[in-house]
Amino acid sequence: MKTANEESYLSISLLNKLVKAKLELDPDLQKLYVKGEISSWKVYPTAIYFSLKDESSVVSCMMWNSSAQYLKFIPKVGDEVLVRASINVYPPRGTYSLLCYSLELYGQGKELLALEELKKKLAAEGLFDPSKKKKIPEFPDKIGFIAGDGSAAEADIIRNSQRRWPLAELYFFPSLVQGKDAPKDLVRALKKAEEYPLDVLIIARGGGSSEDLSAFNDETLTREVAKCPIPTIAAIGHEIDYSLVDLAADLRVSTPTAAAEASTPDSNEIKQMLDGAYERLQEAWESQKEAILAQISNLSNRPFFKNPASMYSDKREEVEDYRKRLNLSIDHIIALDKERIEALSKHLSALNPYGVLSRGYSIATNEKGEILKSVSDVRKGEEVTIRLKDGSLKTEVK
Amino acid sequence: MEEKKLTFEEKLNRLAEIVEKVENETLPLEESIKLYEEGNALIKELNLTLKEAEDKIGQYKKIEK
Repeated sequence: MKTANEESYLSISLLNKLVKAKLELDPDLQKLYVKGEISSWKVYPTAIYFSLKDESSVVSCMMWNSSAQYLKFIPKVGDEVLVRASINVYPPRGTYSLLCYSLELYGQGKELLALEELKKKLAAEGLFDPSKKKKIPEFPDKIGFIAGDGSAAEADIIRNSQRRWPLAELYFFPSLVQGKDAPKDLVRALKKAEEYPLDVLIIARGGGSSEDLSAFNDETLTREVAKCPIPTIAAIGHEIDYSLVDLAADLRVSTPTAAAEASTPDSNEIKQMLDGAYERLQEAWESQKEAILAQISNLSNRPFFKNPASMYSDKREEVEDYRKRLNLSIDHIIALDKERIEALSKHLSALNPYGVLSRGYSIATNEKGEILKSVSDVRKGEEVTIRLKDGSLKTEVK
Repeated sequence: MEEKKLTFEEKLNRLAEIVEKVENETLPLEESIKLYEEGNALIKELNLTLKEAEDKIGQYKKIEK
């Protein structure tokens, strides 16, 4: 070490700045994973100040609220935790602390890891395959649901499914949903539900209950849900936190109410649809009726219907014509006959023997009334009757 | 009797089919009348089913161990 003059001695400020620069520029010290037990915990408006310790040492820590909002649990003194942090030096005091970005419970970390492993295993087996998801029926007759006895989930499902679709029968299978006996009891309830001819089965955990999803991450239960022949809807986890049962179910929703809605059609919509159908039928019918009426009126305007007389008035004329012609010919025939009769009667009168008398001829008869044609027809003294035009004479032959 | 076996969903589908048909097809009058009557009967039936179901709200079966 070379000797230095007085001017080359560092000020404290400079020293602390130098250390700050050294430590904060070291990449290894900026990406630290540290394990420790929380020994103090103080929340301020913008940040949390705490300390971590092990058997012999302590380190100060702080976490900005912007990071703290992602904490998945409420840490307390005594918790064994894992932090991700970087070194931060405070020059005025020459102290350093850990600026923490994340903080997890140590034990939970192991559990999460195990869960992650299990999830991977079941996924590899195809338990969560979208292709294996059964379709949730649109119009269920029988809805089954597994939930805590007397839980908010039970009430929510009953109220909402009946409000939407009162046609469905509800079957409630109460079960434990948390605690070490919960997985077994849930499997029992599931098996029981499978004995009923259900169209859909809801597995729900009431909102507001403990954060503990562990029962729904149980391997046996998850496998049973995956192979359940009834279409299943799970409403267990939260928006971000999915349980394995959520993943194995045919459908997952965030709340029991959403599960009730997902398993039922809305009867109000159906009623509206029925009203709509009625109107549409009515309209279709009216328009068809109008078309038919238009067609009828079109046809009825044709001459045939408009003036039915026209059809036979022509005929009538024709008949009348014939009739006239017929009458005419009959008159004619009668007239002709009359003429002939007249002519004949004239002719006949010409042949009348008495006709000649008028011209001065006479007819003589003997006493016996015989017409005299020869003188030998009478004897002397015999009375002869002579018939003239206007009377007869009695004479005596001399 | 056959019709009794139709589920609510099947009846609803049949109704939709009828409405679609009378709206979009030119049908003989006799068929239209038949469909129209069938459709109206379905609407009545479905509404009645819904109404009857509403009277049963609050009932459910609880199956204990």
